[in-house]
Amino acid sequence: MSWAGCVRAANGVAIVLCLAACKANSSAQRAAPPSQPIVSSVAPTVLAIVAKPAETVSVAGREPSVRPLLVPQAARALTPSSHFDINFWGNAVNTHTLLDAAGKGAVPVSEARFLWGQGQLYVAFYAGDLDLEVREKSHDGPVWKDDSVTLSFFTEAGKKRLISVSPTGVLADGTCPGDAKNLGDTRCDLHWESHARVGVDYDGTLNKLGDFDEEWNIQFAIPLRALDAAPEPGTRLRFALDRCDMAFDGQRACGAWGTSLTPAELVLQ
Amino acid sequence: MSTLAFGAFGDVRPPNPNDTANFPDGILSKIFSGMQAKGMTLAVDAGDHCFQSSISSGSYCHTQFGHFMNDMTTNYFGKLLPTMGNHEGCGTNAATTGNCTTWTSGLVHDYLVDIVQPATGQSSSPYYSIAVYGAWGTAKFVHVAANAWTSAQNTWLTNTLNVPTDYTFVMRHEPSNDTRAQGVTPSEALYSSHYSAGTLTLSITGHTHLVQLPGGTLPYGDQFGATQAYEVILGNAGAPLDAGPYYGYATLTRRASDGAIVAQEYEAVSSDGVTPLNNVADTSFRFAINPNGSPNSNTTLP
Repeated sequence: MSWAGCVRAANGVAIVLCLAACKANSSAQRAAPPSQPIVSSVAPTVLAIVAKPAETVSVAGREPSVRPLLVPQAARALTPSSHFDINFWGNAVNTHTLLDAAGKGAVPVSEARFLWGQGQLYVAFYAGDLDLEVREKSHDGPVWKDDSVTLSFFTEAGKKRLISVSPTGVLADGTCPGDAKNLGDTRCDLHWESHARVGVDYDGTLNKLGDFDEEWNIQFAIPLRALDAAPEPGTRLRFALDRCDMAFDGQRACGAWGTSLTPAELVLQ
Repeated sequence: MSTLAFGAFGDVRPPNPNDTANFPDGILSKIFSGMQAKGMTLAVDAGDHCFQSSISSGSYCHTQFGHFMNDMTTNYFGKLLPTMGNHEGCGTNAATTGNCTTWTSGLVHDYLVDIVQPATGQSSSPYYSIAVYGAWGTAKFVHVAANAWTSAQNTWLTNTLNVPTDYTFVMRHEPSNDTRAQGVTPSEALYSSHYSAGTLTLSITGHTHLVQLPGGTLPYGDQFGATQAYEVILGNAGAPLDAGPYYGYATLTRRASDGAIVAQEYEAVSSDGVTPLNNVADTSFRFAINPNGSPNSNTTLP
């Protein structure tokens, strides 16, 4: 290609998109001999650059984390799986990014969506994670020491039912005092079973650092009766969800939606 | 260009596949308006503009590409030079290992038609380069498609990097130590050779959803990937954050006094994804490099 393939922008801004290497027309440039290979396979195109003032884009602010989440009915039953079906979850209510103790978006980012139907509470949980750390393999084992998410449902008696699940689908559940940090609290009763079904998916390699893990997902189907909740519109569940990212050297960051002191609320629609 | 200056960002997608309703329009709009406010008339991105589970054309990514372009044209009036990521590639669920060897159909073709064509004026190839020049000298921007690696691209990259210019910026989605994409290892070998010869200024990458300075493990540590001396990661433009308190972008500007490129990261939106941060400079993320890629200890902004 010849140097003539270069085009200077008509408005005088010296930016060119070239079919061939562009000839320097400045004394500061280093000219390449014509025998040099082409710089680009791009057809000559003038890049007109017009300076205009920036426009302001408004972004709606986040409501407090304790706001009720109005949970729509699912159009059909769900068998939890590794597949995120937008035709099912598209209508779900979304926490968006979980918040840290300071009220800021917790990083790595996590979020959860909710639907209900067929007597089930459906939950889709997403977690960004560059270092998947999961070792527990036993039901009711210390899942909370791994990368995991915990759902807490508060009862009238000042207790809460906890369901913790890891990215590999290992589940622990039990009933604890309202102030228990996790199912490892000796006051917790692990005999309670949620009968939750889960489907999991993770992108990465477990317990291996520096290999670019990316994220994990868990889908839940939790029988509402197991939570002493009526499967009907208007039912309200006091609720919290939390996820602490586990790194190779221990806990790194936690995000939550609702807490034991200020539970969030799910309202079935 | 009267001054060598450009914006840079990477990784814009919703957390889950096919979820166009949660495309990060708000974050991306703030990034584009921020670059506009900083006077950037040229910008590069490090890839990943959508998320769909299949590699079909006319599907969710096609719609999300429309979101991307609308966010850009509404808020930014300069030119964008996009880079192909694994999310524009040929792997189911955007697998990083996916590799396209043709791009005349499917998702990768949508990317070429929907983003590359309107941005650059060509849609024939996911890899390309441009040259810019001014009184300050010459620079080439070389956009590698590591998820569309072929022997032809290898030849093109070899020849392109051999064209002498004062500044050479290489854009590739995956960072140097994520070698799952087929083009990373061979392109990195060329980068390394040119860096050693003083003919590579900076490699701009993304893929991991954070920022990482050249030449080490700062600011977020080794578990998030060590960079080469000539490599920066800019992957915090809307995809769910892996580290760091904000979504943002960088500007890279030539300092007239010594020709160094000074890079500065700006905070566009808080990690909650909605709270604007008004383009505050992240004072922990600024560095300067010479045209030959060597560090410059003076990080004073032009």
